[in-house]
Amino acid sequence: MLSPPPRDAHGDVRPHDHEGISDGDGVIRRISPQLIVDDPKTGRRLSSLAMTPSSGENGGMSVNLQNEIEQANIDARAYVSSPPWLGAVRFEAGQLRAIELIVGYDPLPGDPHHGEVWGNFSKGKKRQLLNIANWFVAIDGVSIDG
Amino acid sequence: MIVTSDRSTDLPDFSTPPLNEVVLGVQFSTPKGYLQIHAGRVWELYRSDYPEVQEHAPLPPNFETFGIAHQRMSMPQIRFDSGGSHDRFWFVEPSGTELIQFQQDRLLHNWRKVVGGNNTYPRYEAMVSRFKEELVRLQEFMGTLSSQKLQINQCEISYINHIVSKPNDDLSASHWLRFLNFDDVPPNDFSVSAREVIRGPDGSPRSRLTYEASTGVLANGDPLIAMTLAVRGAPPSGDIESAIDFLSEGRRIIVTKFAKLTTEYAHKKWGRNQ
Amino acid sequence: MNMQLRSGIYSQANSGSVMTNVFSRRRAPVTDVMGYWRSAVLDRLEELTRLNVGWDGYDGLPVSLENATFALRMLEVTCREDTIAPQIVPGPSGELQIEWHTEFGDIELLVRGPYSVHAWRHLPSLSADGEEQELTNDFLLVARWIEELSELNIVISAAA
Repeated sequence: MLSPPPRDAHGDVRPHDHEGISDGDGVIRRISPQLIVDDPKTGRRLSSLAMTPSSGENGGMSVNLQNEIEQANIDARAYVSSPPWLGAVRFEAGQLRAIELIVGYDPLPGDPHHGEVWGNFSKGKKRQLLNIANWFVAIDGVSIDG
Repeated sequence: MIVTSDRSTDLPDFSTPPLNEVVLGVQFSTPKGYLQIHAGRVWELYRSDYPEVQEHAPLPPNFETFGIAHQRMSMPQIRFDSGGSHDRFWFVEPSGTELIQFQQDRLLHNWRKVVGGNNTYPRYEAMVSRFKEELVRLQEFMGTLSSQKLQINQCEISYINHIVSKPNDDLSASHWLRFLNFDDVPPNDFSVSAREVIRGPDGSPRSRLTYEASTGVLANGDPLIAMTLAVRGAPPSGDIESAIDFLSEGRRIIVTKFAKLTTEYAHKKWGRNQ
Repeated sequence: MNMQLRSGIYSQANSGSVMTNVFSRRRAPVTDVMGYWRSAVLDRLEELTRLNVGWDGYDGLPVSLENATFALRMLEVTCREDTIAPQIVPGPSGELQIEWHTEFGDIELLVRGPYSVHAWRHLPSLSADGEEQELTNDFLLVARWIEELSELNIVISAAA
């Protein structure tokens, strides 16, 4: 169980790199079919917008922390593919840190195993993320980065 | 900042212009925390001067963008039927000549001629001063919902003119408008519009001037030409001062263009002073 | 200066006092035919404004009407009547991205908000990172990009 994350004066989680998340830990991002594009070069693939943080002061890219899910005796694939039309991709925390992103813990009332990835999400960084991601719950006929 | 308290002496001026309506308006991103239920509290900001209220259909968002010339001038709008929609409220003063239009992303101030009304145009300087106060009040209210200022992303200033003739007047559109010349056989009716991109000193597009003229008829049967000039665009920054500057610059553009588009005959009729 | 027939949308409060002629009220546009892209884009934008909160499995918001309208206005000044319809993808905070992907290049336009657009393109002649530009209200550059991409695909396809 991860220690509580740091919060700001409003009670919102501050961007942080949680020391309880090891480099080898799985970081999973849900993928909606809305984020699929057709590309004649590669076939159906994910848009670069699939790797985008929320706007707002502490906005990061929402993810789920595989260790946290599994320590709660929940099947991680089932957890992240609910509702059933969602797919999911997976990174290791160390891969994200290697490209100057940080990985933190941000439990939410409806999603206690929620985390965030913070950093500079330039166009190049988003494409890098698609490049290093692997399917965790694949969407049929869709590649991640072509 | 452009000084708006005194009328500029280099602008064309008419003692009895054919003005029928003037609109000053801003569009802004819907403030955080604002819900339609708050519209009643917004009315309270202005109610002492604008005690009557009416409900109207909302105005869709509007943006001026620049690139290749439009292939068509009528723009499709997105049908937005998700969740609740916010009415456009008119807060009207007792004489009916001035009103505020409010919706979650707009505030406008209209002056208009009304039947049986005083109908003395209050002049731009007085109108914009009032509008600025109204914007400040609205911003202060929105600031109570969440710490924020209005993020203004579009400004609009429109001058609507009614050039009225009598049925027996032997006057064609060319008597009034320089840019129309129908030669020997004037049409029974017409409708034209034109647009110009207004550019800054660096050549980049700043706003768009639109002017249109069409024939019409008053309720008493008098023929008229409705001539509207409007300037729309994004202010350089999203704050109230920047918006007011934009409106003032827009007014300058409109008044100057109006004088150029109308004839010497028209100017004499309207008492051009400068 | 464009001189055309049009119907304007104004914030007038006095329109009821005058009966303008029917001709001026119900003017037909210069062309009634929807451009190739316009109908598909309108449908897609309307769909994206109706997304449920949480559409992305997190707390993703629907595309805002403000952003959808701005995107449409941007496409009006960048696409010709026969431009192929782009694909449109929603972001988590009401933003959207307009994308063209062809055999010989890509264009992506991220609409963060009104007058805040990140434009990016990739062509074989450019570096792997492509070319990018921040844009506000002037989209002539994007119009050129679209034209170049269209021509590139026509020329290379014809040569194949």
